[in-house]
Amino acid sequence: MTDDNLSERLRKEFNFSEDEIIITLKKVTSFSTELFALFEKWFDIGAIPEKKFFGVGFNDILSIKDNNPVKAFIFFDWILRDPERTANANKLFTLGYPVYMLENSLIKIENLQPKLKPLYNEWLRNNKEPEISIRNYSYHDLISRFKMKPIGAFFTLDWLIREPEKAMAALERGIM
Amino acid sequence: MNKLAEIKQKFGGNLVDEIVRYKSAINRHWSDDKGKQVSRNIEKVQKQFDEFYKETAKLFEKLAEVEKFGRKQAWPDAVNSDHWEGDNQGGFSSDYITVTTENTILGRDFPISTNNGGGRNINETSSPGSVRNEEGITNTEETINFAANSSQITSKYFDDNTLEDWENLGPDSRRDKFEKYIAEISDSSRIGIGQIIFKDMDEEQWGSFNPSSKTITLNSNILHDPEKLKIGVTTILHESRHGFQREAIENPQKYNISEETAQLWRMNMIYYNDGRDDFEAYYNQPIEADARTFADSIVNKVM
Repeated sequence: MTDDNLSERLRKEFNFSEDEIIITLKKVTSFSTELFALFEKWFDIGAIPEKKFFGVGFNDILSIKDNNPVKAFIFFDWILRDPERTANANKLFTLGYPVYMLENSLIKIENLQPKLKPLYNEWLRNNKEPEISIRNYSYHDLISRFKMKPIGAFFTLDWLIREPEKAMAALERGIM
Repeated sequence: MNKLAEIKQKFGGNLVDEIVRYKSAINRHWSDDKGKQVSRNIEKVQKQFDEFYKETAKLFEKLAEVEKFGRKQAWPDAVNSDHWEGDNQGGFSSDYITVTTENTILGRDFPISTNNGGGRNINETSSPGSVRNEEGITNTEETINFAANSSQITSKYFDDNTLEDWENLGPDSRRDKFEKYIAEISDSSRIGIGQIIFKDMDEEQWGSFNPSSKTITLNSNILHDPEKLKIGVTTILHESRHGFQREAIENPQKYNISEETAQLWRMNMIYYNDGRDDFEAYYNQPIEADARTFADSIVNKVM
């Protein structure tokens, strides 16, 4: 696999723009040894890896990435190159989040309000449940009354900080 | 593509052309009276352009919220690929939105961190004579009829006398009333809801719709607590709307739903956000926003 024949394939087979090709080449070059080996194998013989990372397989990701293996590799790289993101992905998988929510959820975790981020990290590392209420909704309320998953409760507290009126109205209404 | 062509493509050519024309005129006449007049005109047009620019940016934000739910494949033509916001790795920036090529590759075509607002597909095409509702769903004769019929039936079943007497009715009578009410709503719009089940549910869950059995399940507190009448009716209408959505995506022509709406709902049903995973995403997703708007519009009018 050379830069030239990879570029050609990205251009012709996947309709990548020139900007996308440049970024893809850069990313492929920086893949981990393991991911790069899998990528080369796919490039050479079209083998979709059976390997799973944080419980998620390539075929799972293909279904949400336009069935494009290059996008799946880049997606895995995006997670695997950051240990914190990988830990979050593991947690999301353990909690049963569907694959199609993985990416949004990872980004939402990374963008949690500064007040919540340390509490989230403490929960992730030491399983310590936060004692926090936002607008009279506590983490425990959200878990016990609304049956939210822990990360779902953090997301809701985050929403209560960002858009209190809307979030409170939504919670007041309940689930239908 | 050069910057001017890019802006024209995004915002339409007229205003851009006008500004360019005035700028060119200024260069020619900058010191004479005509130049001063042109200067005044360009300020006016620039102001219009700025407002237009802001409005367009807002629309793209709204579109991005919809995009969150179904991804690019749901609306292949609905996304201008130059309006994707992200973490700015290896990208280039325009005046107001950062574009990243990594996001382009990953199809990450929405600003997740802002993550607010209801769903609205601004690029949806309307069929002749149709009107979009607040959630951007095209109202056709069938959707208007469904709303009108449901509103009429709700008024009939929950008139002033019933509302006054509700407290005095027992759970069985209330159940009977709800069953007849839902059957009539279902019949009037051919949505085929077969059964209504009351059962103990989680404290904050009022109902659900099972698309396989076409069954509505309601929290039994609705029967036992007379104060819960309004939430009961709202939930029935909300779940009925899910029944309508399901029928409509399977038979878009029968229900006269645009293919865009059908696709929006279809993709949302596949990529459904559960409230326990992410309550905000649950609340804002298109089929929930649509069901909520539908139910509220009737209940707020009738009760």
